[in-house]
Amino acid sequence: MTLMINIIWALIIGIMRITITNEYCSIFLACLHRKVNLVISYIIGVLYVIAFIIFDSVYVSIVETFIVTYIIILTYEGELFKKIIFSCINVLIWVMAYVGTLFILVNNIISDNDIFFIKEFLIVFLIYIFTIIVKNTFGVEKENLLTWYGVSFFAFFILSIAVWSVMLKQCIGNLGVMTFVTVALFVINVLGYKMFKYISDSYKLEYENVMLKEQQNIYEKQISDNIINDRIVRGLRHDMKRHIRELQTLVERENYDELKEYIHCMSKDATPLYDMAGTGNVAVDGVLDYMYSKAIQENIKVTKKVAIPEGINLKAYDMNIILGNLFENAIENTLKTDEPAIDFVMRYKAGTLYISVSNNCISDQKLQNGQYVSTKQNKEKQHGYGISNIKRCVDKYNGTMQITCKEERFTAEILMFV
Amino acid sequence: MKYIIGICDDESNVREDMSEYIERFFSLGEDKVDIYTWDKAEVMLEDISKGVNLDVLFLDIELPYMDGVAAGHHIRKVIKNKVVQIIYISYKTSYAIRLFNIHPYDFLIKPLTYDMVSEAVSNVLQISSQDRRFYLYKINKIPYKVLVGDILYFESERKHIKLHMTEDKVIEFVGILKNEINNLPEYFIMIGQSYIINSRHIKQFNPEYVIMDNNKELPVSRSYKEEVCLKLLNQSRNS
Repeated sequence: MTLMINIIWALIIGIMRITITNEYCSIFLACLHRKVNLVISYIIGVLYVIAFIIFDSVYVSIVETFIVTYIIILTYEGELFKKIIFSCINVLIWVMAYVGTLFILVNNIISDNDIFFIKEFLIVFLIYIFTIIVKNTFGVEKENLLTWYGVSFFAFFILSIAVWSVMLKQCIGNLGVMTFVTVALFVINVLGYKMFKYISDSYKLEYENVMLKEQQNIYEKQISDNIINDRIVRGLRHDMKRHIRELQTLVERENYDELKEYIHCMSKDATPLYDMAGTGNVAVDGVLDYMYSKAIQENIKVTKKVAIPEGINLKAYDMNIILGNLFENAIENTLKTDEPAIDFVMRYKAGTLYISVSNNCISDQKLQNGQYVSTKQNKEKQHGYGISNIKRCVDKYNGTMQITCKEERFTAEILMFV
Repeated sequence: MKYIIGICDDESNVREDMSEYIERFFSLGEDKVDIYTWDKAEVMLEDISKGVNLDVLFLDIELPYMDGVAAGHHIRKVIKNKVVQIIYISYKTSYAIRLFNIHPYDFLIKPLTYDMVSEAVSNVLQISSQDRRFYLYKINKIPYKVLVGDILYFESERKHIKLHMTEDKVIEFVGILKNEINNLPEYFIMIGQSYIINSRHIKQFNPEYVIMDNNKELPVSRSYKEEVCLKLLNQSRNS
């Protein structure tokens, strides 16, 4: 009976170890063949369980961890050297988890045999936590663990260990209760992390949705602008002969006042054509035209100086986030003043792209650690997160961002490498 | 100080207006100006080759026969004049990437106004006056000087400083690089312990390295990266 329970325990721990190892490997490398990986994981899992039952030594466990990680990581894409290094790091994680477990158990004077599996379970528990930390620090899909959700997750973990430690002292001898508490706390922590991931993914998805909706609005605006401009161009072309004849007549009659007035009307008709950003760069033109028209609708005086090559590689998504948020902030900010005005500069030079959006602002505009304190926090569309989203995008281009507020003038400047 | 400014545009009214704007601008200060105007790029290039030493050139992009882009390339690559500050003028607001390889100082969109032209000229003159300052150094206790604008970059080699100048000239003298940055205008940037570069002679900037006008690739130290970026940002604001 005891052997049976031991085997079940070993199986549970084995499955958990293999699953966590796979999660660890996927932090750094991409899985080559899912099926091969699954088969090898099963085989190595069975061997691990057998070794686990037969041997009970720290040194064996270290070698075991290295071999298990190395064989599993072989089914992932990447250089051999890297695979060996990552396997060694996983061994280090195991050692840390082992030391952590000893530290937690040091005050609980009980024989090792009583809580052998619980100890192993605790090691796995700590490995899981360390793997999550590694994943969110070095992984492809990094999460900022220093957010409210991240900190809550760690509070979960620390409280769990504390509760577990107290329970261990109270329930020595009652292996059944201890097993239940250990498993329950582990499950709570796993669910806690999953919930943290779910919330953070949902936020990202929601933000992307907002950006896509904005993108859709930009395209709609661009299409309608193109239609209007096309109509104006057609109209001008259609009337050109008539206009030229009229201009000729006015010149012949030397009626210069009327001639001036006539030319003025003609240029007025063509004005919408020159109001566009017109850089030829699709990633930039759409969002700029959209934001200009938004500002003009609000009666904001906009001056612009844009000189960028039409062919530079900029992503529409990134430009929407950077320019969209900078303009949104500037519009919101400058509307509080009596003379709302925005100056926009975008310039390319020797591989660098300089962007500057500055606006008139009220004198009590707050800056905190060089960051603009948004007045829009937690309102709809997560606009309060604008600056941090811009920052994230700028980082992608190895750029830098500077925000200044001097003499009722608020300026956000960006330098990116493109 | 006398400046020579050129205008190359096929529209006579643009040439006339700009000449008037430039003359008006200079009439307000102490500096003098000589204005050259051309309606064709070919004639302009011939004059430059013959020795018309322009400080600033307002160059139309859409010119008949040889356009402004080709003319700009000719000035930089064939005549090898890297000093003249080219300001492109055009009705267009979209520019091809090869236009930027000429390193134009600015782009102005027609119709031009006095404010646009005077601002551009004023900025270029400011740069030009900065570049005409001297950098002083000593070899065997004998003082020498070079124009700041002609310095590409400083390189540190043990106790010596190598001054890399335009036209592939290298001057070597004893000194400590770190101390030199304080004697230089703010557009000189220290990109590591071994290099101080003149940001106006950068051909291509990457986060990890810079390519200078003489095609030399210089590494940007990781610890200097943030400071370099901030300096470049300030440079971009003022240029």
